This record gives sequence, C-alpha cells and structure tokens, in this order.
Amino acid sequence: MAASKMAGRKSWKRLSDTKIDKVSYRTIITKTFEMPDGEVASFGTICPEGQEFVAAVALTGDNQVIIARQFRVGPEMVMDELPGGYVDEGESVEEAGVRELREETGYRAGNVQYLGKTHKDAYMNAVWHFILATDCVYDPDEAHEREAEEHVETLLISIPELIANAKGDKMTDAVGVMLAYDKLKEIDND
Amino acid sequence: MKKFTRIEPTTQQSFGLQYKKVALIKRFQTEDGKLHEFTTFYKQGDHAAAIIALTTDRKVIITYQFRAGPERWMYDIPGGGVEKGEEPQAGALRELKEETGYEPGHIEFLGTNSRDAYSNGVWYYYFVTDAVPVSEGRSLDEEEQDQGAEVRFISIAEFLEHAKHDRMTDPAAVLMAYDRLKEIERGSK
Repeated sequence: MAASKMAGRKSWKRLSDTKIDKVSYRTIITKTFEMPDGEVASFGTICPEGQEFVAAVALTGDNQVIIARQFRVGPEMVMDELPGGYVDEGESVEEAGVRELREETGYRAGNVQYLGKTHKDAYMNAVWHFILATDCVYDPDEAHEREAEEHVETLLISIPELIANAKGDKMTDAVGVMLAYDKLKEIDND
Repeated sequence: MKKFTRIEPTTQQSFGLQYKKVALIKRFQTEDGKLHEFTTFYKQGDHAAAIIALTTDRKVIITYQFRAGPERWMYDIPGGGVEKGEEPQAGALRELKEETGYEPGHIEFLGTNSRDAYSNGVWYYYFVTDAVPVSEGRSLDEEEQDQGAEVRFISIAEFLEHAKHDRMTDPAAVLMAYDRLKEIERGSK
C-alpha cells in the first residue's frame, strides 16, 4: 500500500464540482478530489481561495513591539495581536502590511522585510503573510482614528513580552513570532 | 476598545460532504447596545492536541499527507481532536501512537494556542523525547488513510525549515519548542 501511495503522490486531482457557500458573511468551500486510488472525496474548507492576510511584527526605533489589543471572537478573549488584515486587490503584501499597521495602530513603518507565510490549518484556503517592520514612528491618520474608536487599542511591549505572549496563547498569530524569532533575538541582544 | 458580551442564540451549520466541518455563528452585544454577528469555525470546547516528538536518535517524527486547504502535500506534527472525557495529554499520545506507531520516552507540556481569531477550540502542545516504536504499529482512521498519511523521520534542521517555509500546517507549536530543539541539535553534533 505504501508503494502505491508513493507512486500516486502527484495524482490528487481537483474535480470541477466545487460548492461555495456563505455562513453569515464567511465563505466555506466544499472541494472534491480524485484521490490516488481513484476514489472521490470531498472536504469542507474555509475562506475564499486566493484570499491573503498580512500581519506585521512591528518595532519602534527603540525596539518596542507595537501591538493591536482587541477582542477575538473565536477564543472570546482580549488578545495582544500583531497589527494586520486583508491584502487588497492590486496591493503587495508589504504595502498591505504597512497600511494595516498605520490604520490599526497609527504607526508608520520605517524599514520593511518579508518574513514568510503559513496556511495556519489543513483546511484553510487563505494564506497569512508576515512582515517585519522596524523604526516605526507614531503618525496617526483619520483611518486610525476610526479604527481606534471602534475596536483596537494600541500598546507597546518588549520583545521578551511578545515572545512570552506567542508561547502563552495571548495572540492568534504566534506563527509570525516564530518566523521573526531569530531576528528578534538578535535585536533584543544588541 | 469596546467590551463584547456573548448573547444567544448561537447557530450551528455543518459543511463539506463526507468530511464535515462545523461553522458556528456567535452573537455579541457591545456596551453601546449594538449587536454583532461573527462566523467562527469548529465547535466550542472541541480541543485538539499535537506533539513534537523526537526519536532516541533525535529525529523528528512527522506525518506527510495531502491537505485540502493548500492542495498539496504538507508536513504535520502528529495530533488531532481530543475525545470527550479524554485528557489533552492522553489524546495527544493516542494520536501519536495511531498516526506514527510511536510512544514516549519522556513527555512534557509545551503550552496552548488559539491558532486563529475566528476558530473555536484550543490546541494543546507537547514535547516528546526518546520516542520508541510500539509493537502493534500504526492505526489510521479513514480520513487519514484517504489523505495518504505517511510517517517521516527528519532532522531538527529540516523540521525548522519546513515550519518556516509553509510546508507544515501547524507551525504554531514550533516556537514553543524552538530553544529546546536548537539546544538538542547543538548537543547532537
């Protein structure tokens, strides 16, 4: 059996009968595949295909981490999140990360570098990208004022606090901290 | 920042055909009297547990299977849903044994993680060293068999690379074990 699975590794074939539904405003997609053994199976998956999110591990000039504290409806907890959101059509991942950082926290990014991405879950269609933004400066615009009033509180924490939060279930984007970990350790030790 | 209070009713809807998932519409009220409706995924109180497991020769035990979200073969640390009445650690060990045919060794708790803002349920993570094979081998469920789950033994360096390059569906636990893994990697050279 192992040999036949090995031989068929590339032969998972997506079939055309995709079913797209909405639950309230969220998209769920039932995907159908022809499996290596020729049988057909369908899987429920989450989010529109091709959807992208970005979140920023954002540091001020003196290496404080910029956090967007907000209520999260899955865990039902107030969490210390990385600023972030959707990548809009025609926008690069870096541009979206910089825009979301400014809207959510009022900080303008200095230098930006790409960290990496994750699917978060085996049944997730969307991709989460992460960027590292350094030398960020507080410079709020109107979009930030609307956002702050609604649901986000900006605060600054230390790099060790960020790492402890990521390990201690105080944020949902712990993968972003894993991707930035080597660089954060280096910055923190300087 | 507004304070959210959960209110009823909550609506549950399942989707997918043979391998179903659950969506839960939760309702909240803020102090200003406004009602908010959010769609979340997975059931409340349905927890999962997974293990970063090393063999006696410090190889990471990992599964490799086709995943319907990314639509490609992905690495995954052994784990799955915790059953009703089961302790998370017992669930993690059961999954390790079923999916890979291995048992500890030594086990320690790493921590919990809420992997997404719109997902219910918490993931419990454990770290196992000196894992050894069990005589009866693996026992996969139908979904795992369909996904063609294979067991691989990889170096710590490879494991960290997979986690950083979107080749693993569950990299959140890697941070919790990162320093330990680096330490063990240095010690084994």
